[in-house]
Parts: sequence; structure tokens; C-alpha cells
Amino acid sequence: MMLLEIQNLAKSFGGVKALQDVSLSIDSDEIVAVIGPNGAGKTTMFNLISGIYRPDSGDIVFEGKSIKGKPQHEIAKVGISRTFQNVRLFRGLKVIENVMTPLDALGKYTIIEAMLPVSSKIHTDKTNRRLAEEVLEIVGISAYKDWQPLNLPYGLQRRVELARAIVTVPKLLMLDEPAAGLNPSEMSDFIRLIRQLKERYRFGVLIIEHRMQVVNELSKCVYVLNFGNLLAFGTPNEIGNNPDVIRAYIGEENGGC
Amino acid sequence: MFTAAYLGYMLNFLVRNVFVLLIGMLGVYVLTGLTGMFSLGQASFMAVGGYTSAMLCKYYGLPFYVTLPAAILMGVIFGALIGIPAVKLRRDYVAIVSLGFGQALVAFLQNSSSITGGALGLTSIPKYVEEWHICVALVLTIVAIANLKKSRFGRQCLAIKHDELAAASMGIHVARIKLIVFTLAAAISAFAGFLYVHSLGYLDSGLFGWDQSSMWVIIVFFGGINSLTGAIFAGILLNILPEFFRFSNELRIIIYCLIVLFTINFRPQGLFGETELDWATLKRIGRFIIKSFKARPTNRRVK
Repeated sequence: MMLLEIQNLAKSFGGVKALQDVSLSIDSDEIVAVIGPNGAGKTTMFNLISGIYRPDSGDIVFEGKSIKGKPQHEIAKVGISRTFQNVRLFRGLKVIENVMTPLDALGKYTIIEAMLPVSSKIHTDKTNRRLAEEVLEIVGISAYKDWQPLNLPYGLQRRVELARAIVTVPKLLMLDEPAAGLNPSEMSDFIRLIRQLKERYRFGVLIIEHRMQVVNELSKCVYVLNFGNLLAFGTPNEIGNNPDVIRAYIGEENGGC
Repeated sequence: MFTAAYLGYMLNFLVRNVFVLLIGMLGVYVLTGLTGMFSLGQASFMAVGGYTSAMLCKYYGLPFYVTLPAAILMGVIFGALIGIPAVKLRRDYVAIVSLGFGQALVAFLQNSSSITGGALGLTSIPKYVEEWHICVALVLTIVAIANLKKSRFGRQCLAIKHDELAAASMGIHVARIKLIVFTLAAAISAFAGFLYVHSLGYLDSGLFGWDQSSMWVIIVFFGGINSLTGAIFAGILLNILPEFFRFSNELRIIIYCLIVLFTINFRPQGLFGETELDWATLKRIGRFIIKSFKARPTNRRVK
């Protein structure tokens, strides 16, 4: 049984067919990359998996159960977490509190207990804070735990978002262009970090990326989307030499010049 | 002007009016400050609590340990009733729903004069709430809300307020948290209604209209939308201000309008912004003062 299987997924917005008949599968402890030109439907696919949109047809199966059409918070609870293309951290919460929020959503104490200094609440909060601190340590930003996230440089904000996504130890981690806007040295740090995380947590990683360096170094399998269709899939090497993919990215060779 | 009698009167006014309204306003802080939902009918929940307790007490002679839970329970029931449809809407529509409920309730209270006293209000209700009761209630409410802000609910609320979509994909059940908070805010305001009626001894439905509710929203915004300290500070300041301008009611309204304009233009995050006067802030202020004292001698030596 695969960790996540997408079967013939389709979604359109009005007349725009954002995604048509796309199938994909990923196993745990595996990194799969999704690439494609702008507007190819990569982020739409992520939004369908994480429950922001409801697919028109097709099915999304996670660990043998369909999660199609479930609300977002339930999908997060079965063990799928994600980051966003444009970093979406919570203003008004410190870095550490940002990382604590997914744990808070799983917390047990009631609102009455939340208003009183009872031990069950204090204990839960302390445990969650320690867990969040551990994760911040792993992604290497524990020095900034009491900062406001918007005061951090962009690269570090991305790490906060990554920490927030992995703090609940998900089974599937979805990263939407995690290396966009990083400089080359930050990028190799990032690749190392993702490898470390995968070694540690053994989750499946689904990654949208434009930087071929990231794709080639990390993933075993690459899916290429173009205009909402699945163009090709295979190892990074195969994809790099696939004439269809080259045509989609660079355009037709017109031979003349 | 500043005779002992006047000061005594002001103190009495501060506790019996300002502090009670402040508790009611803290309901708005929980709702707007933490979750970002607007309620233009929050004062009507105060009316729910106040009228429940007053009517049970006046007509059935029930003691406070029955009417107080009854008042809060009615607040919870009405909060849930309004909250269930409201939280599924976009947040600006919450304001419209609550405004509608608030005005409907006030109209009901004014027109069913046989039981509620109508526009004349209810009078000769037992006054057994003393000043110190109100002070204790205020402190307890503030501590409870401060605890709430630092708890898992507070963090989830702030997450929802700033990015509902991201909050949902972190596993937060947005509608449920919103409903819980809406109900809690209604309960807090109903509690304030109980204190109000038994501290003043009369009830007048005119006090609980949309103008009171919208003033609470203004106060919370003026104080700093994310700061409990700011809300309390602004609540005391803006509620006590009208007392100094008693000679001219119009001037009072002009001052409120100016406050709103200046806040929106020059300090949209509110007076306190996101700063809380908690232990960490006090320590920072202390360190700053110590540093500026230490800095002086070195300056002289340089000269």
C-alpha cells in the first residue's frame, strides 16, 4: 500500500482546467518532486490534497482511505502537513508560538481549564513548548524563538514554516517551492536539512520546486505537469533527457537559426 | 471641584459604571482582539444576563447563587444560538448578524413592557453587589482572559485571526474555535450584565443598543487590537472621559470621533499595538531604566 495515491484527479475553475486526469503516488520514506512551468497546476494539486479545494473528479487515497472532500483540519490530523509558496506565518505570535499551534490544535484541555491555572493545562503547554523548541533546534533557528516572525529574513521565515509543518511528525510533508528565493549556499543547507529530516522522521516528502539542483539531488522520482496534464514521470535523469519536457520548458526548436 | 464628596462620587462611578462596563467590554476583546470577529451586538448579551437575573430576582425572589448561573447560562445559550450560524460566515457578516440580533433583542425588551418594563426599564431590583465584589470580579475576569490568551485557545485564535486558511491546514478546527470563543464572549458580557443590574438596582434597555456595542469595538481598537492591557487602559479612559464632559454631550461624541480618526490614521495598530504589560515587558522597562541611569556618569567623563 502506498502512502498517498492520487487517481485521475481533475479540477477546473470556471472554464480553466487547472488539473486534468493526474495520477501520482508516493511511498513513505520517499521524496517525490513535482515540476512544471508556471500555471501548470502544481499548487492546485497541493490545495486539492490538503483540502482547500474539492476535486471535481478522481480520488485521493491516503494510507488506503479516501480523504477526498474532507475538511482541511481533518486532513491535517491524519498526518498530512504542508508549507505554502508565499510563506504564511501567523503575525502576532512569536516564532515558538507559531510552531506550537499545530500541537495546540491536538491539545485536549477545555476552554474553562484554559482560563484557570490548572496542572493539566500547564503540563500540556510545557510539553508542547519543549517539542517546539526541539524542532526549532533541528531546523537551526532556536536562537530566534522569541522573535516576531515577520522581523526575520525570508530564508529563516521559511525555516519557521518548515518547523511548524514537521512539529506534529506528519506522515506526508508537502513543500511548495521551499527553495524559492534562497541563495546558493542557503540552498545547499536546505537540501542537507531535508535529507536530515527524512532520515529522522521517515516521512514521505512531496516537493514542488523549480530549482533543478534541489530536484536532482533530493528526489528519486519526478512528475512533470504542463497545462494541468501529467506530461511525464521518471527519475531526474530520464526527465532531464525527455524531449517533451524540454519542449514544455524551453519551447519548440524551429530549426531555422 | 475636588472635594472629598466629589472624589467619593467619582470613585463610586468608576467602580459601579466603568468597571462593570469594562467587564462587558472584555467580551469584545476576546471576540475581536483574539479571534478577529466583529460583534456590533455584544451589549445585547449584557442585556440577556442583566434581564435574566433581574426578572428571576424580582418576580420569583431567587437568590444570587441561582440568578448568577442562570444569567451566565442564558448568555451561553444565546451566544451559541447566534454563534452557530454566524461563525460559518465571513467575518464582516458576523458583525451584521450580531447587529441584527442586538437590535431585535432591544426592540423586544422595549415592546414587551408587561414583563420587562418596556422603555421605562425595571426598577427596585435588589442591590447586593458591593464595590469590592465588582473589583474582585474584574480582576478575576482579567486574569482568566490573560490565561486564555497564553493557552492553546489563545494561540489558535490569533492564528485564525491572521490567516484562517493556514490555520485550518495546521489542523485547527476554525468554525469550532470561533463558536467556542463567541459563546465565551457572550458569557462574559452576560456576567457583566448581572453585575450591572444588581449594582445599580435598575435596568434600561436603551443602554444595550448598538451604540454601546460599537463603542466597545472602538475602545478595543483604540487600546490596541492585540493587547489586553491596551483594552483595559482604553476601557477605563474612554468610559471615564464622558464624566468630565457632562456639561456637553455633543462634545463627547466629537471626542470619540476624533479618537477614531486619529487612531486609524496615525496608529492603526492601536495605542498599545501588541505589547502587553506582563512580566517580560516590565523586566525590559526595568533594564532600560537601569541602563539609562548607568549611562549618565560615562557621559560626564567624556566631557
